[in-house]
Amino acid sequence: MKVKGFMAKTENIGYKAVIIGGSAGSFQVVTNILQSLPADFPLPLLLCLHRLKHVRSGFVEALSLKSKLPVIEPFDKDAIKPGKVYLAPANYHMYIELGNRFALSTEETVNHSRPSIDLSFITAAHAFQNKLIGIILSGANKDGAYGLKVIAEMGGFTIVQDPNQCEMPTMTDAAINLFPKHNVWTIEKITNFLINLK
Amino acid sequence: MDLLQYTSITITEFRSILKAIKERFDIDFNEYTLVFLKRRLESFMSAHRYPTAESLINHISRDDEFIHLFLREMLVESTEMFRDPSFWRYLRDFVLPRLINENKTVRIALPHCVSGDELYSLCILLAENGWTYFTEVYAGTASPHFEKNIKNGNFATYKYEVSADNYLRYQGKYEFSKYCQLKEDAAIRDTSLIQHVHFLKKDDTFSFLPNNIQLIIFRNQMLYYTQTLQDKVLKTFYEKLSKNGCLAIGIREQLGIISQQLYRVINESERIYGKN
Repeated sequence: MKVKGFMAKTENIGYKAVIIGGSAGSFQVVTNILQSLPADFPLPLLLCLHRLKHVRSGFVEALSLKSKLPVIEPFDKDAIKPGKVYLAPANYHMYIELGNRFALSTEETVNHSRPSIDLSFITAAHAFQNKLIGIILSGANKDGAYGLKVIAEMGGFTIVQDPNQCEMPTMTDAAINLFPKHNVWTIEKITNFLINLK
Repeated sequence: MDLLQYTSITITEFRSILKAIKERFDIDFNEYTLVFLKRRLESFMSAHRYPTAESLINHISRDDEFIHLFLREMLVESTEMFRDPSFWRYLRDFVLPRLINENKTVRIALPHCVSGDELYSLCILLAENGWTYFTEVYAGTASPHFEKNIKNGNFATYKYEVSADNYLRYQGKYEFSKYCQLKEDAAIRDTSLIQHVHFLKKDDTFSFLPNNIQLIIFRNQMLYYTQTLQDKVLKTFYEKLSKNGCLAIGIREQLGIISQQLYRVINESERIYGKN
């Protein structure tokens, strides 16, 4: 099991993607991160956030407001491209297929969730292996804890938002309890880390 | 099935299992997307306690009934009734009125039904608008189990609330409870809604479908197909559709470059296409 420290990262091992999971209380945090990222951010940023099933529009628009990067809800089989933010669509699971593509699914809910953060994280971990950065933010259930552990076990770099900062710490607590070696960072440190990715 | 519980198999083992199923039951899963199918197969193995690929392959060769259980667990059900209410509204307000106006009888096909949620939604729509007698509905199912389940009106209780919610957003004429009775541990749909439906046995190539169809509803099925299989199936649908016939696919699905030549967009956000 390899868990890389902050120093290992600054050496830059050529990350291929960042994936972020969150639910209740994460919207503002994601908005702040997107606002801070430069227009030439070099990686694809994948977002799996719990959201209302029946509300198809509005979320992308809200996230786009202050983002310098385009925010997109992918269609099934869309290619994953750097410098774009991808939001898991309402009522679909978002898988990362081999060959750098998305695959959507309407399978059963996982942890009462569709999209499920666990499924997005696990499939991303298999696709990107140690070239993946996984981040868990504020949230009200345990979805994502298992997936973040899988990312760490595959050699990816894992970060949990400091539970003291979270509006709802259930998700971050679950992640840390399941795998205590994650990096537990404040939102300022996470944002700073992402800005400096090359 | 719990998608987080799974027995890990290699790609080679995965391919041998698919080969065994193809040889024994003549059902071809080779053109399904890899990450989806492998994970689902691994979850199936975990749920039914097959510790190795070999144990599963052994069972496949011995058990004639195996395929029914396998399909029941592997094929993805539709998530709920009236999923994407605005799609059903558009069908009701624009697509079907035109088709009914232009054709003496409107042939509608749902080439692959698993839980029957889309089929019942459609039949409610037709009944509420007095269109049942102007339409012929064809439903394909992959095994007799699915047909029986749909004909019995079985409906998963956990889908009830979200479906009732969707029906409200669809702005139907009555209450959802008119069509679906919620009992303590089961929900039962009104089977008189589907008594005119023609059930057909689905095959891999969809050659079982009749010709001259005016509307094909095939939503969220191609998610699990590779691009090659998608293009093959969309070509078959093209051939089965009548002139000016329509095709509906899932809200986050899209036509590949090859298939885009065959269809024109009727409604982009509801993913409804017309035959070119």
